Amino acid sequence: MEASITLKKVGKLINDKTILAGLNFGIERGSLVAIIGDNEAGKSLLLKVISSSEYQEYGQVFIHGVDSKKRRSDVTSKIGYMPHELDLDPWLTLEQNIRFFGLLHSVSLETINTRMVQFSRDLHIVPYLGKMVKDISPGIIRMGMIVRALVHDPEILILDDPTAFMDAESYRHTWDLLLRLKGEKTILYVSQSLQEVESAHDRILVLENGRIALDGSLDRLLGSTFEFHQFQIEFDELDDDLFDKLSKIPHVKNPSRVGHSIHFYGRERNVFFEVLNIASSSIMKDLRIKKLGLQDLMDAKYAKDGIH
Amino acid sequence: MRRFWLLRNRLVITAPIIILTPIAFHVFLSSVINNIYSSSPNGIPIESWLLPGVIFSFGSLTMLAILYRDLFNPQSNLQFLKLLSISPNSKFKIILAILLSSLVECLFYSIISTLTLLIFMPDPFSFSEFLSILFYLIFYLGLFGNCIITLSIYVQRGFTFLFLSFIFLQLLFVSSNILFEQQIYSQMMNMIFFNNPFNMLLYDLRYLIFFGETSFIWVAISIALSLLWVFLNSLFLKNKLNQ
Repeated sequence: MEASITLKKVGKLINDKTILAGLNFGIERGSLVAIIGDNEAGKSLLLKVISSSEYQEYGQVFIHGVDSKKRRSDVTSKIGYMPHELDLDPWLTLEQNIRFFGLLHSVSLETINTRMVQFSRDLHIVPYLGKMVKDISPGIIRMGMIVRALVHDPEILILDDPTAFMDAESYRHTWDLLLRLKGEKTILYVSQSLQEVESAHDRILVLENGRIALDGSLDRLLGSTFEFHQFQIEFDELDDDLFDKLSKIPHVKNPSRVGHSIHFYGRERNVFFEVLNIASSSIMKDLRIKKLGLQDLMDAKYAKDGIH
Repeated sequence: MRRFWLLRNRLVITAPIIILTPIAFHVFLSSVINNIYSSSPNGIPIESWLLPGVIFSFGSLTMLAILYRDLFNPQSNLQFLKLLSISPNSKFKIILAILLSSLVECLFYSIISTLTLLIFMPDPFSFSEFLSILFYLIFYLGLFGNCIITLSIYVQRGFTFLFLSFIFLQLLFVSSNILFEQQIYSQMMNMIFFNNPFNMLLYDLRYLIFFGETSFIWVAISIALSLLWVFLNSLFLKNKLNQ
C-alpha cells in the first residue's frame, strides 16, 4: 500500500525541551490510525506537525510524497485538521463557520453547501447549522468542526480527540461517519478513550515521551500478553499479612492493592486457585477476571516494565 | 463575507455604537476645546478643524475593536490566525486579507459616523472634502491596523494588548496633533511626534480641505510603509506560529 503520511527523523523542541524525538513511521492510504499516550506524551503536537499547523525543528514530513515544509499550500489542501480546542467563531453561526473555511480553500459556495448538508445529515446536526456557535453545546460544536475539516474534501483527516464532549448518540453518529470514510480517506486521530481506540483502529501508535513506544494492531500489541488475565478480589478486610502472602505466590504478577481489593495478573488459571486456597480463611465479597486490554497495556507500570 | 456575517449577526449592538460614539466624542471634545479656543491657529472654526481628527480617532478605535475581536479570541490568542494558517494561503496574503477586510469594515463605520457628524458642522463640508477625508483615512488605517496586528502577534494577554494599545492611542491623539495641536513636550519630542506618518497624513488632509494645498508625498510614503509592514507582519506571524 502507498504511504499517505511519512515521517523521517522528525524532532520537535519547545523552549529547548525535546517534545518529539526522531520519529520514523509511515501511514498507509485509507487506513485508520489511533495515537494514544500519557498526558504530555506529545500526541497533539505530533498531529500539529503532521497537519503543518506547526513545523518540526528536525526531519521531514511527507504528505503523499510531498515535503510539507517545501510545498505547504499543496499539503494543507490535502489535510482536514481538527484541533483539540473549540476554535469556531462564537459570533458566527455553525454554517457560517463552515462556509468561511470552505471559502478559504477556494471551494465554491454551491459545493460547500452540498457537502455541509450531506455531512451534517450524517451527524444529525442540521437543526444546529443556523444557530450561533456561542449558543451550541461543545459536543455539537465538535461535530461542526468535523464537518468543517471535511468541507474541502481532504484526502487525510487529522482529528485531535474527535469525540470529546460528545454524548453516546453523537459518539455513535461520529464513528458511523468516520468508519464510512475509512478507506476513502486516511484518518489519524488522538483519543483519551481507550475503549474508543480498541473498537476503531487499523493500527495503534503508543507515544511515550515523544517517542513511539509501541506500534501495531491491538492483537499485535497484546500478542505477548495473550494468555495473561487480570484478577481482582475484594475482601471484607485485606490486612498487610494477607496481601504479603498473596503477593509472594510465584505466579502472581504485578500485585497491587486498592482499599480491601487486590489486583494482579496471572498467565495460568492455576494461580487463581492458589490465591483462593491461601485466602480461604478470609471473607471474599467480589471477584473479577478479565482478559488484558489496551487499558492494561497503558498502565504505567506495565507499559514501562511489562508483566513479570 | 465573514465580516458581513459578523456585522449582520450583531447589527443591533453595532448600529447604535457607530452612530452614538462619534457624536459623543465630537460633542464632548469640541465643547471642551471651544472653551479654550473658538478657532484653530489658522482661523478655521474649531468644530470643523477638529472633524478630520475625530474621524481618524473614531477609525482608530473601531480598527482596534475589530482586530482585538479577531485576534484575541476568548479561548486562545491568535486562534483565528492559526485557523487561517492551515489553509493554502501565504502569510502575506493572510495578513493583507485581515488588514483589508478590517479596513473595509472600519471604513463603512467611518462613513456612517462622518455623515452623522456632518449634520453638526457649522460650515458644511462639500462632497469632495468628504471623499478626501475617507481617502486619507484609508492610508491612516492601513498604518494603524498594521501596528495593531504587530502588537497582537507578539502580545499574548488581552489585558497587556489593550494597555499597550491605549498608550499608543494616547500618543496618537494627544502628542501627534490628531486632536490637540499644542506643543507640550520638549522640542525633540515634539519633532518626533509631529513628523510621523500618522500625523503627517492628517496634516496633509487638513491643508487639502481647508487651504486647497495638495501634496501626496505622505500618501505615497504610507502606502509603501504599509506594504512593507504587511510583509514584516507576515514574517512575524510565520515566526510566532513556527510555520
